[in-house]
Amino acid sequence: MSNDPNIMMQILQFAVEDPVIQSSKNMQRMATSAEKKDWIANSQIDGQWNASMLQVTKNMVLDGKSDEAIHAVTDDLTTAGYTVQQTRNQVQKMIDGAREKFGGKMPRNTANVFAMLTQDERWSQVFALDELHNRCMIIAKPPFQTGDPKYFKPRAVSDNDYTHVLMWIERHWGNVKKQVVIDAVNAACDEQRISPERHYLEGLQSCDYNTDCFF
Amino acid sequence: MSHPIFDGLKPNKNTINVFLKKISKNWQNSDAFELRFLGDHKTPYNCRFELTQFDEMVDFIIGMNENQLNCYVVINPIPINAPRWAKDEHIQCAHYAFVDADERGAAERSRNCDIFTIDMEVVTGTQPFLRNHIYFGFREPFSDMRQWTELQKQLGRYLGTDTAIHNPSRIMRIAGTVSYPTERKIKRGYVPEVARLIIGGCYV
Repeated sequence: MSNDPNIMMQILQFAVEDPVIQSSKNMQRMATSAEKKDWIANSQIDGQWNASMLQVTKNMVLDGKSDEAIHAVTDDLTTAGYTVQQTRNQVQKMIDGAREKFGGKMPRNTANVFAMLTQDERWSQVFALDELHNRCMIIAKPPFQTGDPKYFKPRAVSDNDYTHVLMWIERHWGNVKKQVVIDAVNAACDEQRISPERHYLEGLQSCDYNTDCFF
Repeated sequence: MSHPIFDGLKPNKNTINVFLKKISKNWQNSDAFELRFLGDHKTPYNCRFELTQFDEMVDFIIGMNENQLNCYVVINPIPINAPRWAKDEHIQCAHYAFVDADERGAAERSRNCDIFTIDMEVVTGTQPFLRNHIYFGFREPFSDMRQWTELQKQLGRYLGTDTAIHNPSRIMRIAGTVSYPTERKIKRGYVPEVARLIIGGCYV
């Protein structure tokens, strides 16, 4: 369940209109606007690579694409005589610059970081509040960590985790203040409370005893 | 009297279960299944089941399929209060986009589509050529049904599949049931087959 119908529409409109780029692999990687398509084509013309790539990265940053998604498109635009790694190095600088300047569509404030942590499928199951011990927990493998999610052991949130979340956001979205991240993470934990005792008590059936007779 | 080539095939209860559970995974309690049963020279039969009647429904499907009726379900959820034989205007949201690849070569093309995530594939037949239905699940329910219709048309055009599959109340074959071809189709080389379900590259 991971397709976005609006994005599907954009890609399909693009695909049906332009038979030259019907190859599905290219389609996956292609930008979704006609403007971007032109810049991609221009990048293959001698002397226009740099200016075109700047536009491509700018558009994709504004579209909210991750660094990896941008590289997936631009890797294919490596021109003869250069390696993919060289393209990546160049493009990464452009991405960083674009993120610094435009920072994606949404401002990186506490509300938006909180929305990302609670709604993005990569983050929405990560944080929780252990109500018994009143501590913030990481209960599923966070996107910044490697390893098999099956073997992830829940643990309390540490200072380093805030830093990792911060770095992840910087890599995928743009610069953000650490205090914003801390507040958003704490609020995200509060959103998902774990309390076996409360769940147990809430699950008990009501009884007809008159409690006055006990006292 | 049954046609001799229909003998020996049985609907697969587990596959029916998984398929219907999957399409209704994110439905609301107020949503219901609408089933249709069609057969050569038989009167179409239509019925509706709520989510709470799931097991009853699966048994009912098996019974109907064993009576050599082709079994279909409306893929989009039907609001419980919608009139029987729900129409397009009663459908309020979609959880899947899907294509029906019923022409030679279309099934392979659809199966190899890698621009979107395929959630499941129903192989509706392999003789005289491979035919399938491909389902692309949505991250969230999609309630703009005009846009959904447009998406279905575009998807059909792109994959070269049946472009008529775009009405919100579209029925699709239930995976796990036996498909009984009409006499005309039998003459063209079609045979009865159990519609198989593939999720994540594995048969269910």
